[in-house]
Amino acid sequence: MTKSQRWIVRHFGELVEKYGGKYIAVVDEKIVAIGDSPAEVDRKAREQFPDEIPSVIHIPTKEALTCIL
Amino acid sequence: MYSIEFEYLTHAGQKVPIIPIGIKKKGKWYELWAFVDTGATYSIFEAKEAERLEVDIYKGRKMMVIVGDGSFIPVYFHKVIMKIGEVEFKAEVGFSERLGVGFNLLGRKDVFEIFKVCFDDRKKIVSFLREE
Repeated sequence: MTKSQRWIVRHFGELVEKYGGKYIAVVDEKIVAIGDSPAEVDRKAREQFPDEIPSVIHIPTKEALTCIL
Repeated sequence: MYSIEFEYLTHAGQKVPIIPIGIKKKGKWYELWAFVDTGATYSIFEAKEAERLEVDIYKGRKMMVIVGDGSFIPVYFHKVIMKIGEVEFKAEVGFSERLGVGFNLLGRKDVFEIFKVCFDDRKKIVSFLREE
């Protein structure tokens, strides 16, 4: 896994609390974009870091997580 | 033998095997996260991901897929290059506006045919193994 992927794993609990329902883009272990669509956060991330592939994840809500079978 | 391990995502005691995967479309790589769903035949992503990948969702092969509550949802399938760990392979993934689970699903088709997938809930790790 990349550093940014590990960062997401380590901070997932906080991300659910803060950004549940949102999309975030992570580059170099930092959140560089938050929004309502993956296209939006991907574009914002690549504008800032054109040589990087942002890690884009839809942060589930707490309710969605508790409903996973 | 190639293998890669992914830690589960955890929140308030819930542990879920959501992993990062790469998708290449029109020569460009994207990274998204998907729930490893052994009960799903197909990989189905949220329709919003199609917009990001610049895929015209309705140009894909349409199939009605049955979901957990017994209803059928329309899914449009497109060919992509998928990457798990360092392994790139051709895959067909579906997109649906009716997925409604809050995350992408990584199903068995094309993925479990080349990887052995092992879940270790005690260690909170899912492993992908590929024998040469």
